Amino acid sequence: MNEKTLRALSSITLLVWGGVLLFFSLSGRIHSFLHPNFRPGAMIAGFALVILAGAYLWATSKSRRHATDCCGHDHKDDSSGPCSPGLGKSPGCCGHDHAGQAAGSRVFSFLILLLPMIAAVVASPDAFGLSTMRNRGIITDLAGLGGAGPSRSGDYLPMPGQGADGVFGDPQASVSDYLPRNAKGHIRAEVVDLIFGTDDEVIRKDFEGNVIEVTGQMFTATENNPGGTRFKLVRMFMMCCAADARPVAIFVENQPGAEVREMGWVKVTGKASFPVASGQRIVVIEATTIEPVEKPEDSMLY
Amino acid sequence: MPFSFQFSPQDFAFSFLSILFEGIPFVLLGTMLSGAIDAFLPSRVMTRLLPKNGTAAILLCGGLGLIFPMCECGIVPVIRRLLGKGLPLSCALAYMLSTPIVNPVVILSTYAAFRGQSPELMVFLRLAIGFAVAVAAGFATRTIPARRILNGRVMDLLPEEGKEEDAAPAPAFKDRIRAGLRVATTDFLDVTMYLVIGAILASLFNTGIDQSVILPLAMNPWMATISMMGLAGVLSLCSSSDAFIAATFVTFSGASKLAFLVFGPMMDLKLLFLYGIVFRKRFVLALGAGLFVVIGLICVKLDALPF
Repeated sequence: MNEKTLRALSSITLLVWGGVLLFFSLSGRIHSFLHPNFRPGAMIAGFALVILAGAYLWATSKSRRHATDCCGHDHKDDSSGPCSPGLGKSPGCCGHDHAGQAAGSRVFSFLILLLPMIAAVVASPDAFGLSTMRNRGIITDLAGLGGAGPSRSGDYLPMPGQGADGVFGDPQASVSDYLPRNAKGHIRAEVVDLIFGTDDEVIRKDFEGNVIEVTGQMFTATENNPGGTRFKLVRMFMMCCAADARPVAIFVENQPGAEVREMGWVKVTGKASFPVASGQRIVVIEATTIEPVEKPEDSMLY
Repeated sequence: MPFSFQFSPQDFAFSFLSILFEGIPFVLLGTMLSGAIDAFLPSRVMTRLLPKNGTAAILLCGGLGLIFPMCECGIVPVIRRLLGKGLPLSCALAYMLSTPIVNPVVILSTYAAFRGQSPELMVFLRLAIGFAVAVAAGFATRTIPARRILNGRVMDLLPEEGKEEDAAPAPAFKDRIRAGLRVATTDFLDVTMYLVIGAILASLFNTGIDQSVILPLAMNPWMATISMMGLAGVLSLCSSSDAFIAATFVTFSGASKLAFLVFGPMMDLKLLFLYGIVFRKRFVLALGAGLFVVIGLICVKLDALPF
């Protein structure tokens, strides 16, 4: 394999990486992988890599050519001085030396760079399965969340007196006046918002005794399930990327004998309570309806 | 609790891609910077910019992340090029190890993550120990010949001792841009290859291992510290987010969480491979072992602190 092919391979690698980042960013698949703060960086990197792929070909096309000119020159005759005046010292002026990088090892690098990534793009379901959720440990109280804030995946809790548009209006208004609601007037909340109610009395009062609509994945409850009729409603809570996401859960009181579709997405509507179990306050929704739903576009909470 | 490993190819692929998607923008930023450094910074400029006094220079580099913050992935290619521009090895090591911890983003994220768990003390100790350990590593390598630490390719980049600067005419701007792009591309492909290998291993462990196996170790200060450092090494988290994970281990002492927060950004599975583009393998292993022992001992000593 000659240097021209290896140069082309470098450029193709950049193009593929840039293309994958752009594809995930533009198609919305990136939502499952990255916190919103990191998504613009991924998209910019995608564009930059595509541009770099072309720029690299330009940068290596007009330099001194010879048999081993992947970087526009070779290093064999310039040990006594810079390979290009003022641009550094051989053999590192272009980041490599030809003697130390056989074509075979460079092809191996390209395989490492491309194959696992392409295989992962094809294989990834963009969500974690049962075993990883179990391995990471399901969090059911605020202590397990560290210092994380309430959900920012969609409808977040506004400040008292703050309207949906973020403008402060009636200073006497309470939070519950502005909580997002569904068509039936039930409060729409995220799993993590309810978990905040286990520690924060003000938030708890807004939810306790009210009918709540909340979406998540079904998971068998092995603890805090005295009658055997509860399941956990789980969402993954992400800090930066999916690799650090942890499952957070509330408990749902179901009808006796009702089926738990493990990992199935459901929308639960029911009355919220915050009982103390084994010394810890937990969230329990007494379900009136449980309906299967599609996986949300933003399946992670942040 | 017995050790268990459950491999799911789909979960592995998901975790692997997310690490790459998060890391690649920072690697690209670092390698573009390394290209610019190589093409535009005059040789030996670092020697001129740093204090002549070696001790002062190492101390300064240990705190440089407060002004020039870099994450642990992006700093590696930058360090390689800065060494080529005359940055002393001891200073480079101090900057490389400290900047993922001693930087404004990490200060804010650590404070936010440890709300209600002595955040001021945790931030102060994380920065202080990170700075002290990085600077100590710089001092420890001061008298060791560079050829015993740096790999052959980086040795070739170093300015030659006693050799005057090239008197050749300065190249045209266009040529500098071309050279910078070549360097940036080569560095990007180099670093990304090691990031891919590190992300493979990190994803295997962070999806396959039952993390609750370390919970029973929380009661013993030694075991808690060792297991939290081991977990940090395996999870290979970004230093800007690791505090949010550490804070959730509520049964562990503050000191063992501190060990997680100082050791992880300096050495983990992905860094074990990334450091290989600058240092000899033997040095990387020795550095990892040294950091593990020193940070572990400091944090066990701090276990009596009320946090």
